Amino acid sequence: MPIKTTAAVRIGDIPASALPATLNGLRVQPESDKAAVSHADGSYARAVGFYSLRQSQLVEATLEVIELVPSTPNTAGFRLSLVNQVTGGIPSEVRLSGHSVYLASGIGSATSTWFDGRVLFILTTRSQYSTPRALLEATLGVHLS
Amino acid sequence: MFTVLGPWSDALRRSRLHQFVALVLAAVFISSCQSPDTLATELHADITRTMATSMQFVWTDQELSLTQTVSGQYADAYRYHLLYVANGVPAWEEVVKDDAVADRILDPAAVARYWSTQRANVTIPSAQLAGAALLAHHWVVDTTGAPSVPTVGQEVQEYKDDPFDQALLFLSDVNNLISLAPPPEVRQYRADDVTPVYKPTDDPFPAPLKGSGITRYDVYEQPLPVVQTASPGAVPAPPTISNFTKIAIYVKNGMVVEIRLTTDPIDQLQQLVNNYHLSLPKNLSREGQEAFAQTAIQRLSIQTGTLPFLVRQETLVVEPLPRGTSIAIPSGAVPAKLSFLHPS
Repeated sequence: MPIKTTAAVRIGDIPASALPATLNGLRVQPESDKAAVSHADGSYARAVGFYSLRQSQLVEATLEVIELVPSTPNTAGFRLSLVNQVTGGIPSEVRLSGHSVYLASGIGSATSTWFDGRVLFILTTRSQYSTPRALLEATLGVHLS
Repeated sequence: MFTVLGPWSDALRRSRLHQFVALVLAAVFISSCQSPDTLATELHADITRTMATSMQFVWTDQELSLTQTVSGQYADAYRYHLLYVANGVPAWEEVVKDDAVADRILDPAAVARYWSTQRANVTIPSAQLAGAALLAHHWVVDTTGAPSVPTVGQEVQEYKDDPFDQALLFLSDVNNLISLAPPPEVRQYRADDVTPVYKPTDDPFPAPLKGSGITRYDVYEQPLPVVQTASPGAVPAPPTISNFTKIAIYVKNGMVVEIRLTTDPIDQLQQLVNNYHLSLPKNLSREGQEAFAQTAIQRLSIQTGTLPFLVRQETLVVEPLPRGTSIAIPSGAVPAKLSFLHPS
């Protein structure tokens, strides 16, 4: 089912201070995605943050945090269709740390997607990264108030 | 009482009889209209909810010549501690915690037998550190080798690489078997049901204890395939596991507490013999009949590529995981790679 977006809204930034400086030993570095966001005609996003998680300079993972507008439908079906768009298929669902986490594998990477209230988290990890589960566990502990 | 009443009572008796018949018909109608689709949907939801819960469980699989169990504590898909026991002998123990997995093999022969039944291409490399340590019954830990989360599609009873996956996927398998059942898929068990899923003489499952708050749901069996053509000597399509599987699911407060599943063609043996022109030896014991049916069905379905048909009884007993339970990698484990045990 295609997701019908809302009318155009101004999309803000999620400040880097909302996240810890490191996650599972990886440095959290804000990345700019202004160009991509500025081209969005309409969106359920109210604010967006995009971060790389680095071991030294090597990007081991990326984290996208999307705060949804209050009018976003709060139904399981809507959320699942949103997740399906993110993962590009039907992911497997596991219950971790009180969250329903949707897991999907891609070429050379794996994506974990979950909701924390009205905040959508998308964690993409390199397949070669040695401790992806510990990273996911650490990231599941991040809450944006 | 009617006999002591006069002619007036005859009319009353007929009237009461009509009322009684009407009540019975109404009861049957109401029970048969009890939103079966909703019932199946609710049961699927109960199973899904249970799969997402921290639990301790015992899965038992009893076949004609093997009884195997997997028991343990399951906090979530990334944290569990399980033990595989074959014919009463502890054979294999595994702990998964986040990215780490630790294994200890106590009975290599039993583990090898399991792999052979599942056509799993796995051997323990005795020349490597991990293999040597496992064969010496030591714990071995691979700090980054946790097996991928077992998943199952719509297939049923497919080959599994290890008994832990088989136990962890049992609820998913049952969910799929329910979906394969003919409509309305499930029916709530009642001891006095006039149209039960399983006739009392063929019902292998116990009723829930009175006052326990447990509700039992029975899954309809798929009828045996029938001949599609009128050609002489034609036989139906091969039967599948869903033709011989009876399932009872016990639910309390929206959570599955027990599942009992039997795969046994004994009730349909004569129909099987007739449909597929089999020659049933005389004077077979019950076990002999089961073995005969198992062999016959395996021969009939040899080209389907699925697991060999096995007469078996499977049971899953689930309890909530006690608060404060901690899953930990055993101390003193030998650090080594265990990728040969967990091919991805």
